[in-house]
Amino acid sequence: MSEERRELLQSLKADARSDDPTLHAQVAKRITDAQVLDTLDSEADYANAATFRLRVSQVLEALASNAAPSAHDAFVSLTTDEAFIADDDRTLALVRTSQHIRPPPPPLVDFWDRYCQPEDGFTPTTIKVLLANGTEPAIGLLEKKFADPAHEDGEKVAWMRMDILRHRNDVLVLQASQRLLEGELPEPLRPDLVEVLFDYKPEVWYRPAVSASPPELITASPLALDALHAVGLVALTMVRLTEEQRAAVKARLEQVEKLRGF
Amino acid sequence: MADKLKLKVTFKRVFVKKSSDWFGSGEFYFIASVDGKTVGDKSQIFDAREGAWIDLPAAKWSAEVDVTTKAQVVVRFNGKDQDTFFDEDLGSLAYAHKPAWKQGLYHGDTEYFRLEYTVELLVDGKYGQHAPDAVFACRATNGNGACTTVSGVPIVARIEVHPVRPVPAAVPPRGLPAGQPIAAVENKGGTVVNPTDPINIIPNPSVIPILTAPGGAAPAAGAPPVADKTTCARIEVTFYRPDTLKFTDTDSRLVWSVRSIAGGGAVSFLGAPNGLKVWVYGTAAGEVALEVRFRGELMATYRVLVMKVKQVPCRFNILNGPTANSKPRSKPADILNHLAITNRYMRQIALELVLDTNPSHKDGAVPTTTPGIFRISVAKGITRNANSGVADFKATRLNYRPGVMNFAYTHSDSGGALGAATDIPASKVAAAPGARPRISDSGTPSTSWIPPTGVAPDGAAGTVNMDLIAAIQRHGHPRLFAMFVCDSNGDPTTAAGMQNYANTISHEFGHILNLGHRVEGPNAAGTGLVAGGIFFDGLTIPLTENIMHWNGPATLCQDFDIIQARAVHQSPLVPP
Repeated sequence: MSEERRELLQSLKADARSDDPTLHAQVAKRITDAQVLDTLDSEADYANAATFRLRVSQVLEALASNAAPSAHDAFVSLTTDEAFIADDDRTLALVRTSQHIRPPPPPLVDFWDRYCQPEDGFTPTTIKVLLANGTEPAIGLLEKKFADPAHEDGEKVAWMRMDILRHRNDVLVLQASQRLLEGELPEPLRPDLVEVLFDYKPEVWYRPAVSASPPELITASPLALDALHAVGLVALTMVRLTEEQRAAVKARLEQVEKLRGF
Repeated sequence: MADKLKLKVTFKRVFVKKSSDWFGSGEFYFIASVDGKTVGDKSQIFDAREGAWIDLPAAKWSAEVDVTTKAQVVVRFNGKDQDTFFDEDLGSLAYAHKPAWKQGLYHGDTEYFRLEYTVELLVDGKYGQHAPDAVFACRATNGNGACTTVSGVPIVARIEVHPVRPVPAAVPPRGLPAGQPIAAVENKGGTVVNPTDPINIIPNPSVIPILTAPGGAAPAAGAPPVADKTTCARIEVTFYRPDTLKFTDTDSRLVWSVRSIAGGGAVSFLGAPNGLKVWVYGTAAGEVALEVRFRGELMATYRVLVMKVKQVPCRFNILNGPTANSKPRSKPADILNHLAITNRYMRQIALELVLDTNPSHKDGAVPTTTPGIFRISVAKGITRNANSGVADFKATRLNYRPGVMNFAYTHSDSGGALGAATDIPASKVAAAPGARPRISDSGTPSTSWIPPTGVAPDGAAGTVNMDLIAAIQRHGHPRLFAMFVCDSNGDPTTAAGMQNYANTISHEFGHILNLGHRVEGPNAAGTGLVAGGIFFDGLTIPLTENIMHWNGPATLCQDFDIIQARAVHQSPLVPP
């Protein structure tokens, strides 16, 4: 890395991590400047962005991870900056790092929505970010996406098995799942969602290069256990399950009851 | 059987200390024997002048002895001075030479003369005074060679032909003496593979290809190509000690031979079967052992299958999104390079991917000028940051032809994969319902030298079992066999990038041929390796050098072993 590039990156990251609202705004402004962007990441860096993330994403990460509202404002301003989002790799970096913005302001939720459209090249990442963000607006948007018929059922099943699975101890995810099972999720997908919340079948779900692991049930909070219990009851009463699926739900409910001391 | 051990004793000359006669010179003659047999000519009278040497003609005054089973060789020499009435005895010398036999110039004295004689040892068919560390005798003992040099110094020699390249850091016990380490020569590195390299660039494959013997008529259509140094399997010694042996690639001291193990397997050597490196081609399918002997003693064994190279038809689709940065960088010429390197990896298991010559196409595919390679314009999300976790993953089913391996070049995967197998047919290896197929291999040495290896002093090799991947096929496409490969493998035009692409393709194609991960991990705690992963083949050796290692680099993960070769030839994708 050239000295100029190193210094620029360090200065931008330092400003993004600072407490100074003025510096936050300046960082956002500077990284919309073509010359700054070109200094940070060369044409070759953009060509290799699928392998090595852009340096500008480190600046975004610093801004997003800064709890100061001014840092988040600066970050969110980038989501509508035409110059910045003109490049897909920068936009993808913006999506990835946005997971740290809590609570997400409405413009960020709009940004997520815009970059969660069928076959847009962003959606799989946006879905991960919504779950990682885990706030009510994020999970609300996730719920909308599961209900949106524009997204193919196969995609939704993949979101469940790769992403929901990793967050199946999260209270808001469980509550959203219950709502989806009770209404908005297309009926053929409901058993898949139940399976992901109550079972784990890697040999059926995954290919050699693509897999995910669920969190241990024992790490779930009491609230999450209660939410899971409620989802289980909905699943057993309202979802058309196979015997194997029913057995899995019952087995997990027994574990929940044991942990909750019912 | 060990070579015969021979030495030669030559009485060189005699120095006259005293002639014994009162006047003038003496008239000496000598009576000599070596190992009880008379040497020389006692009727030959030499003019003996005090202070002068008498040279003994070597042709008459030397003897060879086979010492293979001798406990000693006694050298006797008696001088006489011929006289008118009775011959005067000038004294006798007797020396017993015993193992370890030593070459050298020896001498002995009587009052009247000094004798000089030499002992020469037969090394590589020649008598003479050899370099002091030249090995004269060797006896195979528990995997090593208990040898002595011509100087009589005992050394422990060892020769290995490891089937895994690069050779893993952990090797079986060698049973070498403790103490001061003796320098060894190692040939263990990985291979930088370029598309224009000979197809046999990777040494020590698990399969020797059946080829047409050289020197005859050109092979008929469909017959294997002629065996030459670019097509034969290259088998190489990977380790030997001590380095003072200074073996060369064509060293006549190392003698290779073939022993058929199973199925009537047979191979021939191209050129002399000598040295650190040999070229071998198959003449009949089966399984053979190549044996390496030094001084006639068996020092190393290389077990290998013999098969015809099977061709698997394939087609490639470059999936271009609508924007500049949703197009994979690879062009048809790059794909040809990646395919060429892939085939150099696949050669180890007697497979070759060949471009599909059927021009039919669908799904908007546009043929390129290279038959078998197509371009398809797709939505951005099909090729860029695509979700390959989707069961009906579109990218890999576009423009496929049933039964033909389908490769999709995409921009990127949302999970960061370099590539992935998506459609895997069921192996022909039988399995109980719900169980993964399992394949076995028995033989010495074991596949990949999995302990016990059967390489002495390690214990006898056992049966190695390997779990295969069960079928993973999407609904409605029973004869779709497919994978994708992404831009994240790097610049497709550089040497390192090309090898990355080819390594990814070989690994994922291995999955399609039902191979699991050779070592799969890390575990959830991050403290070790997954021991029971869903795509784990059940084996943890080699630790990193197998192509099916879950995430190792192309510079290291280059090997396919015998049990994997057996497995892949059970795929329905591979012609019988």
